[in-house]
Amino acid sequence: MDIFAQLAFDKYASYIWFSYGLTFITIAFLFLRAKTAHRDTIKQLRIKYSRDS
Amino acid sequence: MWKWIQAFASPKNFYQISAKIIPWFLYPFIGLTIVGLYWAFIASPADYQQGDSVRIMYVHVPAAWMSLMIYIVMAVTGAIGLIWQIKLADIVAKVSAPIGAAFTFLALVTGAVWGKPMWGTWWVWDARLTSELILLFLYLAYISLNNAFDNPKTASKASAVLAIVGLVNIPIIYYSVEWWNSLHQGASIGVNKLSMQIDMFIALMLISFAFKFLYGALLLMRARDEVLIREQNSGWVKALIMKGDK
Repeated sequence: MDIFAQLAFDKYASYIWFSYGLTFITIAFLFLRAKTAHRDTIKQLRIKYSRDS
Repeated sequence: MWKWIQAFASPKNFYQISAKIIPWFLYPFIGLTIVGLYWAFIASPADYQQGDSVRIMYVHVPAAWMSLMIYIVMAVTGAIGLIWQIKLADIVAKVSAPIGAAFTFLALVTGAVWGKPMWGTWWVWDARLTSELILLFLYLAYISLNNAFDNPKTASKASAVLAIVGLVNIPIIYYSVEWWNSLHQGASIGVNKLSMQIDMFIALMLISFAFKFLYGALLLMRARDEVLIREQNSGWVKALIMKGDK
C-alpha cells in the first residue's frame, strides 16, 4: 500500500489537513502558554522577593 | 482515601506532587496521539458515503466531547469551591476554562470544515451548532468574569455561579439532535449501540483518550502556576522560589 497516495485524501485533503493542522497549532499553543506563564510567574516572584528583602 | 485527598488539596502538597504526576499524563498523551493518528490516517477506512472527509471526525468528535466534559468539571469544581471553600477546587475551575474554550473552538471550526464538503455550507443556525457556540460564549464569559475582580475569592464565587447556571446548556447540546430537526447527524456511539466500523471506533477512542491525558497535563501545569500566584505571600512559596526550584 502506498502510504503517501493514501495521505493525499482525494478531494478532501485541504479540509482534512487544515483540521489536523489547526488542532496541532491549538495544542502547541496551549502547551507553550502553560510553560511560559509558569516561567514568567517564577521570574516575577523572584524579582518581588529580591526587592522585598 | 479521604485523608489522601485532603493532603493533596493543600496548595503546598499539590504543587510538589503535581510536578511528579505531569509526565504520567504527558507520555500517554504523546503515545496515544501517535497510535491514534496511525489509526485515523492509515488503519481506518474511508466512509462509504463521506469518503475520506470522515477522518475529520477523529479530531472533531473528541474535541466536542472535551468541550462538554471540561465544562462539567468547571461547574462541579466551581460548586465545590463555592460550598466547601476548597481553594484547589476554585483553581481547577479557573484554569480549566481556557482549555475548555480552546477545545470548543476546535470543535466548532473542525465541524465547519467538515460541514462544507458534506452539507455544502460552513455554518447553519442549527440547534447543535448554535448550542455549541453558546458554550464557547459561556467559556469566554467565565474567563472575563474571573478576570474582572481583583480578589480571587470574589472572582471564584461569581464565576462559579455563572458556570453552574450555564450547566443547563450541556444536556441541550447533547440531546439537541434528538429534540429538534437537525442537519447534524445523531450519536453513533451509545449504550449497546455502535454504528461505525470498528477501526473508526478505535481511532476515535485513541484520540479521545489522548485529549483527556492532554487536559490532565495542561490542567496540572496551569494549576501549579495559579497556586504560586495565590500563595505568593506564603513562606513555602518564597523559600521555593529563592531556592531556585521550579
